[in-house]
Amino acid sequence: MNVATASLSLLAVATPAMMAFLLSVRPWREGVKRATPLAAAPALVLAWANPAGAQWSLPWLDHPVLELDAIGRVFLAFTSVLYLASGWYARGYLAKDPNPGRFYLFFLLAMAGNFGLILAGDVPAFYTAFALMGLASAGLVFHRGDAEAFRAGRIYLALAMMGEVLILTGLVFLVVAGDTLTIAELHRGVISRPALPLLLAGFGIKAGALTLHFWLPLAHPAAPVPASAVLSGAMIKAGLLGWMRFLPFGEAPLPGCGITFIGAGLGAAFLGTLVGVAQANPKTVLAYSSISQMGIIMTGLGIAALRPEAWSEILAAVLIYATHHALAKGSLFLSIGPAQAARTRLQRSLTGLGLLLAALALAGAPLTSGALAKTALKANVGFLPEGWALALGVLLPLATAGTTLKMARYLWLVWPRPGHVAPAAPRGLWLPWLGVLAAMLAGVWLLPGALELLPAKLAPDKLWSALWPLLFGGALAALGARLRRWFSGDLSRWLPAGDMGVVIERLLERLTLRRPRSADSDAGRSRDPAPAAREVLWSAYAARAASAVTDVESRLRAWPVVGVVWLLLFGLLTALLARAGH
Amino acid sequence: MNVLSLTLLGVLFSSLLTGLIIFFLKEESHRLRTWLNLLGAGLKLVLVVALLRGIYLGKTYAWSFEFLPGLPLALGADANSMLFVTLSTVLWFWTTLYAVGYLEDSPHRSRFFGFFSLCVTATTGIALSANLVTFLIFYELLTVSTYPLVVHRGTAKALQGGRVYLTYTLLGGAILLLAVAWLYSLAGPVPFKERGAIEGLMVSHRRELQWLFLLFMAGIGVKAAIVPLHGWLPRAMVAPAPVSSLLHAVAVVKAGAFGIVRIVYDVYGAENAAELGVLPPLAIAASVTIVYGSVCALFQDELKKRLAFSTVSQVSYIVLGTAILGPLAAIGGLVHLVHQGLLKITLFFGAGNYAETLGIHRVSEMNGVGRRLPLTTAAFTVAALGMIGVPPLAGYVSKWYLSKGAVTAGDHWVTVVLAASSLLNAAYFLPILYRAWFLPPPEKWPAEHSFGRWETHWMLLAAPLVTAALVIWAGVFAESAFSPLAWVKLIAAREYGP
Repeated sequence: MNVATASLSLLAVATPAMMAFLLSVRPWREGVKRATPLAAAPALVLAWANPAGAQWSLPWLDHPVLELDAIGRVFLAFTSVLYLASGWYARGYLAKDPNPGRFYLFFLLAMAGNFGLILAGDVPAFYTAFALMGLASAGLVFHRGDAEAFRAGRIYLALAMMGEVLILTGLVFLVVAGDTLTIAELHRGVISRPALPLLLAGFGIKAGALTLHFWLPLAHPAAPVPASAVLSGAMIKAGLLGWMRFLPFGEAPLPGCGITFIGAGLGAAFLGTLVGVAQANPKTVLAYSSISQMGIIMTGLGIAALRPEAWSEILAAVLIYATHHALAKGSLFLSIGPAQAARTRLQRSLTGLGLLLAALALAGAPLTSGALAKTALKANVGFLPEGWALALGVLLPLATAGTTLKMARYLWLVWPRPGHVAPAAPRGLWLPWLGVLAAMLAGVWLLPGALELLPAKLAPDKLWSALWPLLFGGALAALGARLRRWFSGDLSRWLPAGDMGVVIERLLERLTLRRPRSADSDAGRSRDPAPAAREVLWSAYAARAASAVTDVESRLRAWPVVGVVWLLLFGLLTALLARAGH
Repeated sequence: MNVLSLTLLGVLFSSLLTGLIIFFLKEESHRLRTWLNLLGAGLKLVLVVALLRGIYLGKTYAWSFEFLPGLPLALGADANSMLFVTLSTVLWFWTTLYAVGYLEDSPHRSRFFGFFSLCVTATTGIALSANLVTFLIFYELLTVSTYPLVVHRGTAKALQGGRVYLTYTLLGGAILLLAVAWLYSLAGPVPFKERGAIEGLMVSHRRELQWLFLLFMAGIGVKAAIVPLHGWLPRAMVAPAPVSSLLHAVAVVKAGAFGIVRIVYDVYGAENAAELGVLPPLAIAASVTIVYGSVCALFQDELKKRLAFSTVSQVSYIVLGTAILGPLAAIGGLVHLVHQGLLKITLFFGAGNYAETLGIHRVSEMNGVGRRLPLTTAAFTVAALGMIGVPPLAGYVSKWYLSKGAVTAGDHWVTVVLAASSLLNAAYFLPILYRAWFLPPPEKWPAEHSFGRWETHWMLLAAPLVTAALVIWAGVFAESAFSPLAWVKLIAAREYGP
């Protein structure tokens, strides 16, 4: 093991972690805050240089704890670019924030976790990093400190903890079946059946898979913009990476997994569009778009799960798609600041152009990274039986049309308009945003297999197949804009952000407390009862449940009850023993 | 008597003598008492390290004395007992330091520290007992020496808590006495032996052994706070914070858990117990306790009460690990003996600091304490996350091995219990952390004391910081040669190995 490369892989993870620690040293705090973007630099260098034998281990272990492989390299590249740009952006964006230190602390910890899970070579390292990222990003969601952020953070944390528990249990099954801790060796032998659904659901929470997605449109917008960019661009991909690392793709056909992936993926793609276009908050629209895009990637994974022989090609396609989405979504989130701050005509045209480029790329317009990603993914539909292939051949372009619709909605919401009185522009938002935009335009073509796809893309029929969903989506958007003239209600009242989550929330509240009539008629995020009232509601519930439990507890403690329970237990155990005796 | 057995007695007497001397000290001789306390604790620590080294190198330590014909009082040290001795000695040292800071200027300190030392002596005795009779004697001594500590404050509530404690534990002790006497009539004084000491009775006295197991678990289960025998623990939290630490992490509950481990592994032997069919009911009782304790903890606003119910839940991890057959689960259970001790003592130190420095006793008063007591709250946070099982902290290591053991043994349902417990732990710890770090502090704390340079008295601060560091160490360095886990693997290899 080469010392220099080993220390570089350690440095990639340790730099943000160390800087988070140094934030607590008062004299260094300001310096660390300014240097935050640099925390991602070692990771970027590592991904770029890709030195041979980049692995690091603890002296008493016989397997690598951190290791850079081909998949990890791609993930590390776009992740580090996003963190670097967002960290830079945060310096300007948080200039007036009352508590920037707390933001940087959680941002750096999430960064360390995110890099760590990408580089992890063994299961404990992966899980540790995954948990670090999950918990630290809760701090980012809570950061703003208002009622909406509290609600989003609480729902996020509940689901994240559930995900972590599912993942841990799944990993234990895998490790016991494979009898190794090294990730690369896990699937050499048997496949653990109980692990599959656990990991599917566990990582599905992070990836925003359908039915587990509802925390995402609440949490991503609640966080400050630079955090939303990494949440929606980079951290969401941790779920994807988890699937790729721990499900036995390319080993054996997994029909259950495959059908779940395709079903949930397509479902997410369309649900994301349906609810996404109804949103009035641009960040929520982007969050729903992330759900849709991850859904499309999941469809690809589904094909691979059904057809192990397709894995190597689908892997390349998924890597291209993930990179494309991370950078495009990052740049879309980061454009919010410049778009709000654009005051001169030049600034307005520049942001407009940037917005348009990123939106077109996400919608998969010809020659963009999005078109490349979609072509690469769609090429694998042929691995499926004819009926499936036909259905997917229609549904995937329709999903793309949906993306166009959401992008149109987003552009309409954030488009810099003259006469719009902007607050004084925080400096330092432009460059990081443009940087991510440039990375989006150029980066995807550096990936393995990307350039080979180019000639195929230029064929006229391919051009047309990339273009028609876009035109269709555009036409729908125009139609929608027309309809809006007659119908000017707030659509997000009927389709509130957090869709299913809102229903679950209501059900829980109804189950636990009869709410006053007036509050029942409310719907939607904007119409929620005042936070104070909600808090009262919850504490009333907690008090009632608490008194129920403590009542039971004090009754249990009363001697006669303990005695009776004892006798019962005695009887039960006697019965058990009698059975065991035979 | 040789040097080796002298070390053994030294470990016991280092705290016994300290305690006895302290009883006769004047209340005002604060400095002398503190030095005696720390000297005793330090000496004990040195002796334990020597003992550890010896055991690791394969030496045997034994001392016995026939105090009645046929009833030998026997002490000995094996890998299993060293786990408990080391834990209680290390934690006792820091608890003593903490208690000195905590009880500054409060009355009856000589009485307090005298019983404090006796309590640890009894715990050490339990750990070093080499046969059941000796174990029983020290077990009862522990009950008696802890009672004055629980009622130390002398308030009506404290006296009531003490009464409940005494009724529960004496009853448990009586059942244990019955069980020991019964087994003695069958097999003599029963020396503890790896893989069990009752091999000869397996065929002839099958049914008796099953009943005996039930009696043992009922007797010891009181101290280990297995539901429904746990009622005393949440009430005993009226005692001062150092006593709570002692009850929850160092001595009493731990003695119960350790006792169960001893009975299963060194009296019955895990394989024999499995053969008798007594392990599944134990696993179920432990699982019920784990979930029930956590659910109760969820609804406590009083911080120490929440922590007490959390102990009820967490200690049963140890029992659960013992009840699942196989080395991996054994490792998970045994290592939690140490890990739970480190985690819970840190939490109680934290709770003590909030009470002593700011007058905070309830979770709902904890808004913004992270700003006023950042180091204490950082230590508290580390321990709370460790309890949830967040890697790479101590609790995660226990959970990992327990789940692995359960899956290997084919008891898949246990993973559901562990998962539910993790979620419940998160549900009652994370809101505390949110309050402490994210919500703004109130204008005025309930009863604030200022301690000059540091956020609180340095003795109150040092103890939780050290134990929190140990929590991190036990997790990060778990797989290295110097960790609780490494030691526990040694024990498991001796119990289950070829």
